[in-house]
Amino acid sequence: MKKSRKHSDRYFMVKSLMKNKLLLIFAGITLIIAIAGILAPVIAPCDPYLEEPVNRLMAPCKEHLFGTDIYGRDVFSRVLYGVRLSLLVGVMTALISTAVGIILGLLAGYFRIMDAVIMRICEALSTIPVYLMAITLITLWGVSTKNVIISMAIVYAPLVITVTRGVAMSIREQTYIEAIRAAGASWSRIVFGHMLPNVISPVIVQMTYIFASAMLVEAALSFLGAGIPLPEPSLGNILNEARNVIFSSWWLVVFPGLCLIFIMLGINVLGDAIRDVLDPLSN
Amino acid sequence: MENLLKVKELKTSFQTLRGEVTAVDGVSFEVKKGEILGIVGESGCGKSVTSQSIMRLYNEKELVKYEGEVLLEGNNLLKLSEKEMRSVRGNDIAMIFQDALSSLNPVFTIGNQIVEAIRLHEKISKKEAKKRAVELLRLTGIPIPEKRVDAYPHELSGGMRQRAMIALALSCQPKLLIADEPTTALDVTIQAQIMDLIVELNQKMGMGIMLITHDLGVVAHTCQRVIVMYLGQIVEEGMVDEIFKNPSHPYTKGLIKSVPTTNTDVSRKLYTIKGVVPLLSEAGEGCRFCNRCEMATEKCRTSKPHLYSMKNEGHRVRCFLYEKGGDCHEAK
Amino acid sequence: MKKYFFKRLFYTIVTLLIVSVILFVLTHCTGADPAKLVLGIQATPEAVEDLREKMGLNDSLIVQYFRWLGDILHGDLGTSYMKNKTVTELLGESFMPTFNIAIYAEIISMCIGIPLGVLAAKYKGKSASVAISSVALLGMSIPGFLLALFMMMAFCVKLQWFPVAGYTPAMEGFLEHIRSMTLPAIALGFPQAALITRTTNNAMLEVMNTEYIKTAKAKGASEGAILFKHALRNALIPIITVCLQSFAVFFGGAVIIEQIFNIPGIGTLVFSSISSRDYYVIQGAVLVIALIYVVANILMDILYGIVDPRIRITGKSK
Repeated sequence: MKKSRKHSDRYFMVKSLMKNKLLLIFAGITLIIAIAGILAPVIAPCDPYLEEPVNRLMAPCKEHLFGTDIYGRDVFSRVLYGVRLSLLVGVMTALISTAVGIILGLLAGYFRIMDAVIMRICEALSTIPVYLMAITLITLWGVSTKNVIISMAIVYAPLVITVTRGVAMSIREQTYIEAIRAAGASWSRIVFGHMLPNVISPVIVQMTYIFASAMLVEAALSFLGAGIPLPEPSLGNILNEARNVIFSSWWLVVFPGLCLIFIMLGINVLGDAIRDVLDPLSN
Repeated sequence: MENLLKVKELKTSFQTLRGEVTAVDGVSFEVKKGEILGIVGESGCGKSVTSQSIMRLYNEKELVKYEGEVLLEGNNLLKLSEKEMRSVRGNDIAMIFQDALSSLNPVFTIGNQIVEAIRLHEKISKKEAKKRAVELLRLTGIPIPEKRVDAYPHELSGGMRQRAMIALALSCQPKLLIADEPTTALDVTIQAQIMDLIVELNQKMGMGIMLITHDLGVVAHTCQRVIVMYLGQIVEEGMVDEIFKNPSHPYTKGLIKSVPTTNTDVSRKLYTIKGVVPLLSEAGEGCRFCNRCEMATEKCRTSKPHLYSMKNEGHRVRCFLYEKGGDCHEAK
Repeated sequence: MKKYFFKRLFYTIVTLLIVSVILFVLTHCTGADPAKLVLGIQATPEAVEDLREKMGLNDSLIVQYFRWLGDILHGDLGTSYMKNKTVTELLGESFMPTFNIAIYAEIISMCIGIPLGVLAAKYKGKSASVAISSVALLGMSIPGFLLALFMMMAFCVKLQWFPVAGYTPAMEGFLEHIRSMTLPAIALGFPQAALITRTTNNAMLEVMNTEYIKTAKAKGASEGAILFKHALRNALIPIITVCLQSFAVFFGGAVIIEQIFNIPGIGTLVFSSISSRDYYVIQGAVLVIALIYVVANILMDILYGIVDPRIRITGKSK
């Protein structure tokens, strides 16, 4: 009985999450897919670019677990590399937009003059739908993995800015900030010492959301041919190249599609769990 | 006097992340017809849980377990179906909550909420119900009730809101009114007005009232009998005069001593009971108060005291000091 | 109230102006020369220069921007380089298909999302609630375009219930119209339905913990009355927010779904214009979509005031 007081609520939250079987199963499947993707160069049975025209559009069999595509490339290997690329795009987008977002958000939250400018621009950006903005940026700058990541970071940064600025503003209003300011604390001390630590939890929750959406948008854009340039295997590209044979060769849609769905599921489940643990009040 | 409500060995436990917690542990008492019974104790002692258990307000599907009996005129409420219980709530037993602002639905007008309460239990037209609502508001001393009936809760002052809350509770002339800290959220002057109103309504309408409070002053002025609770148990029970004149449990003594009065010598420091109310899950083997008690003995730490009857009828104390019954031997 | 309204209008106009600047800068700073694109690769430098002069591309960017802005204020969004039509005409043609899908998707997502969210709150902790939240999680995890592909494979090819692609306006047969809109609307609406379910559920759970719900229970109100009258009414603000936001999301998401189902809507228009660098069309279309977003936001504010009397007051005092 006495022991219970030593642990925080967070400990009990994690403990009760660990009991959730469904969550563990999904997390497990996603983890396996993600690790397989990361290790793609090691475990992929074939070269994802190797074309064997003789073997084109083969249904799944022993040699080609997920079948082959219109150029006779091994879909299993391409899916593995595709997962790898999707994860890369997701992670990079989340990291860049978060870094930019935190900096601008803190500036907006601390300096009232910057606030007006930054928030007006954020508001304007948020009126343009994600897909449209991303497609416009990528096509205008030219399709490349780098441009996909940068344009999506621009699309998602306002989210982080808004969250960060909200937290920073609420902290600025607290009496103790006034007290330490009166005591001569510099602005950097207030921003990095007091605002930043409080911003981290809500931003992590946003990060998982951005991570998931970025992968989703990337897949959709690549599917339309406005994302990752072509021979490169991304999940969206595999689907794109299958567009004309979709109805005869189901494996070209089902395997990359399921992979994408499972990754999204895993991230969403994880995002929920993170939110529950970091912010027990929301439950 | 006849018993209106009789609670026998009520035990309420909750399922929490940290395991099962028993918030009310074997509480027995009765409320007589037309009587005002006070229940006092520090926050977290189980006063509110007791009252909400009587009305079965907790979600029974998942987190709460009731044991014992709650007899309203001989009818065990804990055995009723949810549907039967619904016709008891608001009709036979009504409740006034602490903070009227958060207890009144913000998106409906006061009149709307009273009309709903009336029409849940009586088959009358909306128009008639609204007329009744105006009368109820008038009864609780709200000026221009014809106008206030269409106001939203946030448009009224704190005192007016609490009056509206009382009007809502009285809408079906309940036999028992449970007032859960009805004045805590209010200014001192308004507190007195609301308490006077409650006493006045008690005399006018003759219903039994359970007044839950942490304010001993309020109890002394309004109640006939009082129950002192500590960590989910009754520690002392008796007539108000008796308890104030001759407090017996060390906890009650401490409570009474820590009330500031005008004739207290200003130079003397106000008495405080040392320590804080421990967590329910930390209740040990012995008396639940022993860690904070100045007179605790080895026995207090190892075995549990029962409620012992005192000389005067109806005065009971949960303390080994009175195990032999009868007069208390003062320690100091 | 009046003051608040004008303040709001002012901010809206500022936002739209910033959008127009962003759009203009984005489209004009790409290095591609629209005159070359119009004339093709074989065009002589003289012809290109001539066209540039005619199109006003030789003026400074600031002059070009204000010329464009001035035209907009006169109701002229410019003329397409490629299609020999004014942007207003093009937008007029493609607005209805997109608007139709968005409306149907909105209906689908609200009709699924709100009731499921309330039910999940009612059966909190029970298997029904776990089932609903699992489906919602799944719905959020399936990208709309994949759902579209899977549905096409099942319903259009195997079962042949719906046409594979194309758009039939409501005027040319309502049944055909609905048939052509069903799958796109589901593909667009289902992920949002999941989002609405979750939002409704969270909002309801939060409201169910409040004191006034306890009061309602203490009055003797039935579970249904507590859920639908007392709780839902108070949970409406986040629900309205997510529903109206999803309407704007549908206009954006239409870019993808219209491509898959070959629907001649705004999405298709923008997509084809982007690849041909048809500046005025891109700018005009995106500006219209931004306007829809802004209008949805204003509508949201008005609805807040209707739903919650407390907000009416603050609106006045502002």
